[in-house]
This record gives sequence, structure tokens and C-alpha cells, in this order.
Amino acid sequence: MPAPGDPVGAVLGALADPTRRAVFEAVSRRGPLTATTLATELPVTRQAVAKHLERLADAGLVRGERVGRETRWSATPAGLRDTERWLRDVGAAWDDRLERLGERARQRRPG
Amino acid sequence: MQTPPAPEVRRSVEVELPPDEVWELVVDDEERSGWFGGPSTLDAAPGGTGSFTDPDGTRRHATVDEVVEGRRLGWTWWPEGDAGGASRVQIDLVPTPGGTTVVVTEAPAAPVAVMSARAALRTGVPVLELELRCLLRAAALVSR
Repeated sequence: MPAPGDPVGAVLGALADPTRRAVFEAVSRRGPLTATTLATELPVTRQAVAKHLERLADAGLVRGERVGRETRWSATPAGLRDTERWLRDVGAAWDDRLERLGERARQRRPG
Repeated sequence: MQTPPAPEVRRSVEVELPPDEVWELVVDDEERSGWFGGPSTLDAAPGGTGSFTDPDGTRRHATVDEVVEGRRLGWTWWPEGDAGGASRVQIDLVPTPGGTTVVVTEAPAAPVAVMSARAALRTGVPVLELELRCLLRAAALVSR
């Protein structure tokens, strides 16, 4: 197992297994998909697919969204890191702008 | 199962001015430029265009898509030369007993499409395809 805080190792470790690579490839290209759908396409059981998906999720490569009784799996490639950075930067910019807006409003306040 | 946060930023501030006066701070170019931190022009009418310059010099172009006089202004903006980096901003002015709550929401115009468009601009190949190929090649090497 890769050490905690070693995301590259976790990703490569998760993809070292050929079946897991096939699962990840299918989800990346055609997701969201359920474990049931994947099991009909791959020579493994639904339970095995579910385990592979959990391992991929631990590495941050896929994520599941529960829809009714099923979990639909989608790929979360490196874009997730971009997203986190975007949220942080945009939030900080609006914090600054709204602080200045609040200050301007105080200057205009009647009385 | 932990899911990633929705890619949306929401911020708010309480001000002791009625919405009509806050609206002026939002739609008047000079007022808006003051609190925005850089020059800004915006035709606050549906389909109106404008530009914003951040304190760090980043310039964005904008197109207004929603106007509810005194209550809501929505626009889509994108950094100059990076149309794939578009996001939508919405400013809502909510009346309160003491004045107005200004609520700002900003979200990527279309998260997956934006990420793909950005990568496509850089490389000519959609991001997922590119990352997928690199990952699978690297993983295949490791598993040998």
C-alpha cells in the first residue's frame, strides 16, 4: 500500500490491477455507470466490481453518487484538484470584494 | 462515500443600506470599480457586455444574462483569451430589516466542459482522454 499523502502512488497502485484499469477506463469513457452495468461487461462479479470501485474511489479516481438504490460511478481525474484550487481562489477574491463593498456601504450609510 | 464539494462559491455580506442603494453600488461603473478593486464597465441589461480588471491585472470579459431591477444581476465572465474558463456570477440583494444581504454565487459555466475545453485549448486533446492515456500507460509499467 502506498504511504498516506502519496497520491501518485495511490493512483498508480489502484491502477496496477488490469481489471481495475478496465473498470476505470469504462467509467472514464462512459460514466456514470453502475457496478451492475460494469459487471455485465467484464468477466467478474458485481461484488468484485464494487470492490474495485471502492479501491479506485480511495485513490480519488472515481466517485459514486447514490441514485435510488444504485450508486452511479463517475471518473474524477486531476480536474478535481483544479476544482479545489478554483474554489479557493474565487472564494478569496469575493471575500476581498465584499469586504470593500461593505466598507463602501458603511460610508454611504445615512446618519 | 465522500463526494467532492459542488464547484460553487457562495459568499454574502450584510450592509445597512436598502437594496435600491446597494443596487447602485453594483450597477454603477464607478461605484463597482471601487469595491471590485479595478476598472470595471458593465451594461447592466440582458445581453449587455462589459469588462472587469482584478487588482492583479487579470482582465475578464462579461455578458449579462439576468437582470431583476434592484434584486438580481447575473453575468457570465471569462478571463481574456480563455473562453474555456467561463463562470457565471449572480449577485442577489435580499432585503432585511436592517438593510440588505448581498449574496454572491459563482460557478463554472459547465464544470466538465470547462475543464475539457481548457485542456483542449492547451493541448488540442480533451483532458480526460489525455489523462486517461497517461495514467493507464504509467499503471501498466508499474504492474509489470
